[in-house]
Amino acid sequence: MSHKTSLACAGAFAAAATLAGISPAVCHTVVGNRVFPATLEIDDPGVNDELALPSFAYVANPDNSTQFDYRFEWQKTITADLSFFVGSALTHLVNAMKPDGTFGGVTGWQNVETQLKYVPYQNAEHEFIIAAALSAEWGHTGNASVGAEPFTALTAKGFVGKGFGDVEADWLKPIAVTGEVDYTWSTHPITVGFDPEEGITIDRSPTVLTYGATLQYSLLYMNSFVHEVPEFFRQLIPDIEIAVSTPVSNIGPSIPNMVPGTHETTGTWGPGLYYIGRLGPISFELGAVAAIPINHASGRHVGALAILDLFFDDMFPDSLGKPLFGPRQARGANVY
Amino acid sequence: MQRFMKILLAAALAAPLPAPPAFAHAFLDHAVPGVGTTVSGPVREIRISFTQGIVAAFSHIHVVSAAGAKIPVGKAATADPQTLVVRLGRALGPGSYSVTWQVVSVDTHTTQGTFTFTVS
Repeated sequence: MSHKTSLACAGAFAAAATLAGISPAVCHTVVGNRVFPATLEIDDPGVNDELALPSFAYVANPDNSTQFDYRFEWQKTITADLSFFVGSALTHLVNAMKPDGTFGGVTGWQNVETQLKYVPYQNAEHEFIIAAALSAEWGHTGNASVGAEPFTALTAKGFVGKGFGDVEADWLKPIAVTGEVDYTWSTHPITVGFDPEEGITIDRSPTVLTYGATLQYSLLYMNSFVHEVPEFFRQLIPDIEIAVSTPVSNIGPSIPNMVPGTHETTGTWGPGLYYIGRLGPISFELGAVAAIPINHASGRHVGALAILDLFFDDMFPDSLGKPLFGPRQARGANVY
Repeated sequence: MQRFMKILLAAALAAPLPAPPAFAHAFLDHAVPGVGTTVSGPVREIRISFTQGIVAAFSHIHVVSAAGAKIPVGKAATADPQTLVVRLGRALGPGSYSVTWQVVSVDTHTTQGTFTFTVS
């Protein structure tokens, strides 16, 4: 693969990855009286025991291919503030360029991702939490035909969440915001190869800064603490989400007419809706978010993300749903 | 896209709409008098239903008037595994009242909160 071609593919897949959200890791978090749902464009700021099976992404890639991702993610608490995560995705590309140069359908696994996440501070009374994580997307564990890289990519992540239940105005109390900043770099930023037709080739894996946020209005919170709402609506959390990626170094030269450009910022935003409920012994979250491209390089038209998340802490409180070591996190707010 | 929307719609319709929220924590699901509501007539008890089963022995409800006067309440009891009830020492007349609750769920998590209601 030539420099230009490989960069084009990398850019397309980077855009697709952006459309699928900053991080595939999802979980829900409880801090005091605040429930932060497992959001789709970015991860929420806490740790918990849960299984996302599946999360789904539909993306219209800028290279005219259409992408469907079916992802599984399992997060397990090691202690009340430390969790381990493993996940991957089965990708199906329609109208994608195959290895033989023809166009058609391609199916394969993305690289396996693992993550350690730690919550160093949370304040239940003020519904405030911060967290940090280090994740690795392991090279050679997925299929190159769907864009899985042969090299490992490491990501340092920072998270923050704040609920406004401690403000005076009642109409502000259901509001919460979350944010995430990621810094991703490859273990092999520059790869030199040889192509019989083009001679020496140089492939670059750019270092990428990714950032995103959600603005949530929790009808769940409103019903419990501000004003009762009708039964169905009390289990909903509508929000607006955005996630954006910018290459920051090891980018290489600009290539004319390449979409997305090597230096281009890509991202999506859109409204989302999360429903949290229980079906017999199964505790779950069902959510969906529209993924509206912020520019042409981010996609041809609106995509969609969706998730079914199972809450193991509620379903299996004495086995899979509790930390391996130590007690659960005491998250109750002291309102007295 | 059309196919995806059909699948999403089917999933949404298949969701158990009247099901309670699912957490390993007991959050307020509904209350009588309702959270933030205005009710007519005297109020003689406070009844709060939670999203999980609770332990009455470790749970309580306090009621305070808008002027800060503490309303005497009886011992908290469960009307059903998820509902906590207290009888008030006197019927509440017109005015605003603040209810503070603290419960321990059957899985030992403690949660607490405050809401207000008005008697017209």
